[in-house]
Amino acid sequence: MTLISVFVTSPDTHSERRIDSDFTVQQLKDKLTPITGISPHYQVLKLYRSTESPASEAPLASLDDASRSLASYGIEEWNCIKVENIDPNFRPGEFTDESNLERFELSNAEYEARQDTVLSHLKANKLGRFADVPASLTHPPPPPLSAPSSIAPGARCEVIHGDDGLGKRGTVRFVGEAKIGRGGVWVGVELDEPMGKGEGEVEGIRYFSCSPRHAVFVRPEKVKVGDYPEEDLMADDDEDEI
Amino acid sequence: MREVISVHVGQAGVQIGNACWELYTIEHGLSVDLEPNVIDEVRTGTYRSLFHPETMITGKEDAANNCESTSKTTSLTSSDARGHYTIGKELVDTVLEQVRRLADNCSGLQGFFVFHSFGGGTGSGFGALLMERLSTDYGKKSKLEFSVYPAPKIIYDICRRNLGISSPSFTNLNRLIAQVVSSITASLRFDGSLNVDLNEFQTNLVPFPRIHFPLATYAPVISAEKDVNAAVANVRTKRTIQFVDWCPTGFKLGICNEPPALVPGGDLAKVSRSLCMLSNTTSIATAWARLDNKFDLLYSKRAFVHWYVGEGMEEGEFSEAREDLAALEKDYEEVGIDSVDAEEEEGEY
Repeated sequence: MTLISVFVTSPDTHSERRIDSDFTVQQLKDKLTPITGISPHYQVLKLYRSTESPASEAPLASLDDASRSLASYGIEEWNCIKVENIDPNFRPGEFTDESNLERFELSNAEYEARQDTVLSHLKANKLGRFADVPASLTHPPPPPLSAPSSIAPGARCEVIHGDDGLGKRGTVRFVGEAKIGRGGVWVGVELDEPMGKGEGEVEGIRYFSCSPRHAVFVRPEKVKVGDYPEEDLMADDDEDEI
Repeated sequence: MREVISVHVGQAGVQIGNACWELYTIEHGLSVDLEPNVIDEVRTGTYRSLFHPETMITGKEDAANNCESTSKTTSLTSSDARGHYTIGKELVDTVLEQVRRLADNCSGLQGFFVFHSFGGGTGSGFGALLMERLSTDYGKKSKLEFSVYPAPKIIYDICRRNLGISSPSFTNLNRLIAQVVSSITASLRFDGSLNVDLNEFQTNLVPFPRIHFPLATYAPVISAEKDVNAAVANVRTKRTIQFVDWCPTGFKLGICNEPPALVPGGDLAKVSRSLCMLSNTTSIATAWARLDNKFDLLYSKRAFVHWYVGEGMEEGEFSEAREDLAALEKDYEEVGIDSVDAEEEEGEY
């Protein structure tokens, strides 16, 4: 018994296989049936030097004598066996073309009815979105009613905002009570870079004007006033590259 | 002594086993003077004997290695239906008997590693049957399945792009997989400042039994030494990776003092440390979606169904399995839904 590695390519599959070169062509076809999905009598096998053989390259051999061994055809490690499908009912791509796929769908009701799911586990144990809402959320602290006097229109500042928690620089444009969210005092900042939400208008009321995506409104505790000159983006980039 | 029993099923499973044991023997200084061609010879010609339990037990004694292996390569290579049903049913008892014998000799059996493919050979059919039976016989023990997907395209791409191997073969791929497997067991086999065992992975990473498909990530680490606990704390605060609040710990760290070993003639560069991450992430859900699409495509044409039915499977089992997978997809959606965040701050406008 001599085991060798070869590649097997068929219209729907490509794989690496370890096979015994003492197999007869018939034995190989039987082995390839569950791999390629083609019945032995519809398989036409051709032996190529490698998977990288160009389409124009002639096969090393046509494996058409069912009783001959693969070794007798001179098969070698890393050769490629191409399997052609001569089944008259074969439609190329029928097992790979998903364009007309009718996907099985489990309805939400069916999913909810199942007992062993994540959903039922979370519900039963009051976890995740089924957890009892903490009192701090149902009775949030009152909104701030004032801002430190240092936060005034025109002041340079850094805003801690966004998911990354990084400070973004800008200029304070608005401070005061606003009909935003739960009301109370808000600070409107025009950011140096377009990393904000809008142009100074929230829920139909304009507080100041600036370029799109430069405005952001946050609570006073998110604003640090100080010496925050505009950052030179190009200089920053150079530094990163060093 | 903490032991793990490895079971390698089918061609892919056994070949990965080869690569793993090749690496283990090097890591434990067993075969440093083995010429690569000797290893090759073992692999090509008589790889079955390499996995004979007795050979492995010798290896274990020499290296104070606490892993053992049994392997069942059989003539059972026809189809997964036969692997799971007719022939498999007869064979699985033999395998379990062998496993039982090994388990009886263990003083602190941690669990099992089962290596197999999903490609539709012995690996998928028999592998599934074996997992079922291991659950029945050793319910509480951890089982870590290393499953090879039919077209391991991503691993191919890694070999091509990152390792410069133009036409990767399974030998290249398996060596890469072996490096990951070895990292997972390193903490069992070597000393380290933070030791983990198999059960701890399960406790910390699997918040609900159905969500138990961690993804493995492996990377060489070249940068300076950092406090891992601080690094983890940093990850947790970042909103880019979201954690469910109903998995109490979510992290389990292991640190092993042994640097990664290299297989002579292998493709990886020598590094002094590496990192292996098992992450139980919702991104695996795309794999279920792909699998389900494939199934729907074949099943709508009743392709291959007769083979399964011929081996004693009932058509109802197909639809049952499909429904279960659809539910699994929805499970992952459910995991992905934001839960009420107690620390949620007021938004910005």
